[in-house]
Amino acid sequence: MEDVLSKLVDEARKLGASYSEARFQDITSTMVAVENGLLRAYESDRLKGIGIRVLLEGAWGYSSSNEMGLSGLRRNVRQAIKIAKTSRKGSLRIGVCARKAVRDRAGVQVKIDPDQVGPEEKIKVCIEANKAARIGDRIKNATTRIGTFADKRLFVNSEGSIVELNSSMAGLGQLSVAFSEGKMERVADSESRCAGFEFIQGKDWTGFCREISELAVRAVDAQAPSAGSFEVVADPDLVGLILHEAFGHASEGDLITTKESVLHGRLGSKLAGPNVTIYDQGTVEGGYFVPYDDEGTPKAQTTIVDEGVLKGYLQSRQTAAEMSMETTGNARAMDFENTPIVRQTNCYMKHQDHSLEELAEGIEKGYYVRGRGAGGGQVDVGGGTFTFAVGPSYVIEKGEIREMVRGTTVSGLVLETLQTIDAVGKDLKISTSVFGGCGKGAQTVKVGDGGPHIRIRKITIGGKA
Amino acid sequence: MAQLLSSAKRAVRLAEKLGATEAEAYVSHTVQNWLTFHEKIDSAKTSQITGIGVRAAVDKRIGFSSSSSVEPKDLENTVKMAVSIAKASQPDPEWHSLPKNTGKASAEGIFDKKTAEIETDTLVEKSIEIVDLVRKRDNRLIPARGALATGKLMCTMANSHGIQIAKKGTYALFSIRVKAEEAGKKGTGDEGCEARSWKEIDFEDLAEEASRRAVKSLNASPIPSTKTTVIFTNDIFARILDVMFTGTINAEAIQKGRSPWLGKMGQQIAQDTFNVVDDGIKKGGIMSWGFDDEGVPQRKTQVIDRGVLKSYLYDTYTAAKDKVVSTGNARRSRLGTFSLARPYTRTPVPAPTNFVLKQGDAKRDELIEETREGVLVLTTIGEWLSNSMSGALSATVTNGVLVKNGELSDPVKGVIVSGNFFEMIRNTIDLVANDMRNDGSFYSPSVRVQQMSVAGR
Repeated sequence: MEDVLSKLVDEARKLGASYSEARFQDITSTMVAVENGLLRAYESDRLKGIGIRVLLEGAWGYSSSNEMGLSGLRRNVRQAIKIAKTSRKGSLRIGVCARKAVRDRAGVQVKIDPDQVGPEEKIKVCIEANKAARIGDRIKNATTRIGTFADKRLFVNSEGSIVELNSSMAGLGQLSVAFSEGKMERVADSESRCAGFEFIQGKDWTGFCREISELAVRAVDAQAPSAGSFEVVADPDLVGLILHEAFGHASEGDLITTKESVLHGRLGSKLAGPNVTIYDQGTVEGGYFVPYDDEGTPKAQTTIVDEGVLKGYLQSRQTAAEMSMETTGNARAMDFENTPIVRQTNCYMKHQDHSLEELAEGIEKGYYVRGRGAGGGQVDVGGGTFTFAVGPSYVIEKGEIREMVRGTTVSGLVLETLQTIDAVGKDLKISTSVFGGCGKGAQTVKVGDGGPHIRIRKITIGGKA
Repeated sequence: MAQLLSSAKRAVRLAEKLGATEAEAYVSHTVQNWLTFHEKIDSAKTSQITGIGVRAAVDKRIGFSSSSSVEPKDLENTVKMAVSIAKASQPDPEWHSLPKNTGKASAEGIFDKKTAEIETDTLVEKSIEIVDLVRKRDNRLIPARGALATGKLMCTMANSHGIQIAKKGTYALFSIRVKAEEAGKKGTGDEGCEARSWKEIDFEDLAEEASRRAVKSLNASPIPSTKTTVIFTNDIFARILDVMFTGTINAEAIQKGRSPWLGKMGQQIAQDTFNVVDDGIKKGGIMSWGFDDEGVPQRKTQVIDRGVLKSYLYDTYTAAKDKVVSTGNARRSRLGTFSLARPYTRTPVPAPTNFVLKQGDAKRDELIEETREGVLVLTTIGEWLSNSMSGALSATVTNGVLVKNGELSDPVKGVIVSGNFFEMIRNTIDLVANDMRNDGSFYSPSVRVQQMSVAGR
């Protein structure tokens, strides 16, 4: 395959491209879903194809196809060249920052290849976990899913880089719907690792699924929180979401070069207290596996915020060139059908020294907001507003964590919220999910996020007025 | 198309040979052109993909497998995998059969030859025009992000009961975000449109509206928490309908106990001005097709009639279970149309086609003029995080305008609007406009809602 990609890259050069790259991808995935004790779906997919990107007189062209024959691939190269030529007229005169050529191969450690595990075993694990979630009449619906994938990517560019990446993931998710006196509530959670099927085999999922159903049963009878601005303690799952939505996206280089982000022009300015340090890191315990991005750049640890000061943006070779900076290895593509754009990898906050009790102690009336059962979030990087769902949470009164409240929606302003983080916990948890991902520009990629518990002095909670 | 159909037929025959008692193959081919821009073009691309999804039943055990290759050897592996999954599955006592051949409905305005022929040059020209238009309009404005796309989908299907059909459709998409800057103040405005043909999109009008919104939102800020009247513009409310009904109004959700509409058939669930149809053959509808994703003719289904719940949405499997006929709502993708690029990778489930809330008599402006105090909501984020089971609706407003004494006043952002959706459709929606618009395959007019919670400063 390496030879084929090299040929395509050469061909593009002959046709006038100043830079070219070819990406081959081969993904196999399975998804098993068991609902109320019965197998609902077992889907198995294989996706394979090649994408070619060329840079010609400052304009990009991209063409992709699942056709694997050499004549079809050559047609793709010509198509990419044609698109670049057509786009020149309204284009940016793009460049890419300089990089040394890399030759490497990296992969997730897989003990048991999920594709070698027969459907019988996957179904059996899923059914047993689902059974444990059906804890009584009040659970109207219990759905359990197991997802696995193996994603092989080969990257070759005209500068001589050849990078092969083998990523694998496995996870289990549980959704439980509880019913009580005409009210319904749903709680969902999942756990995933960059690993093989050994991750599924090595954990007691019955306890995990039972807990989610118990949480749903308790939440359905809980009150909604009050609407308004409050002091909160956020758990690591939520801190990950807050950073990802409120901050990670706003630091993406392509939103800086277009001046869209509220962080445009703020490099070196103080955005938070000295206790706040934020990293984006390609490989980290619990997170997704991104040792290289889809431009063949190694992805190491990038410090976005250092002790409250904005230190850097996330960059691709294009945005780095535009800003005369270095790429940070954040150019990622969902698959071979898409061009790499600036994306986060694993965005998390560095831990400090407070315990959960100490964080709660400082709060007179507020909430302990939890990520479990939350559904994700979204940000408007231009206006600087972010929002995310929280799962069943708790009231904090006079420093004490009290009764449960139903999950709700929380919102804040990027620049304001960071300023009001006044204490950071001593724990650290980073997670990722085989089921979800982060969407941007019609592409979804896997990300990880997390951090310690933190205290935020002002955040808006949606609830009853 | 003939080639796709022959792959489908070959897969069905092979599955039967390998022991499937019934089999179905869905083969699709998608071609897409995309261009993204801000002040200049960022990048343009074209992508094409063919794929096959095979559903095999061995007695009452079902398996599914898909692949992006229909080469003979890969096709054989895909079929083998589907059959082996079926053999490993538990029998499903509720399984009846794959659909029998019941013909094809007539769906107009779903394939536009000109749109199918569009290439990158058209997108390039259009992006230059749009950027010019925004920049010349007002020197405080910058196009911060835009996308132009066209696509065509061809798909064929064959099954053991004689279904052998083909369909093709086109799509066009435009979205734009305009940023306004003035003396350190910033504002953004978004607009967009998705249609079955390029000519249906009014690019200039949308770019103008995004520009107006950007200027209007300069200096937007949260307001104090309150309880007040909220006006949802049509496309926002269409998205809310999607969030609240897609996962709950289908027969699968009802049968599996994960829907608030369980046991509500024939009951008054909304005020009598609330009428909803699922119209699978709507002219030019985003989800209009002659047949659904398992080969059953699409049609029009009255879902809510004068506030009374009249029908759930069925595919063949859920219909057999309830001893009714399929409403032609089998869909392979639960997402929007541009995510339809690989519909072959999913098994069909019942889901809305074109979900249409009937419009009212009021003009959009009357909704504002008749409001003493409230918030006009133009853009939101996170509305999809609302809870369709409990009805808890919440949306974070990224672009809104305060309404005072019937007139638009200061811009608002960063507040969470929330309320209970069930209560809204029963009682608190008190004005419905006549300005129907779509967000994907959901169609809605603008609506005014009394007494919503607004969480802010």
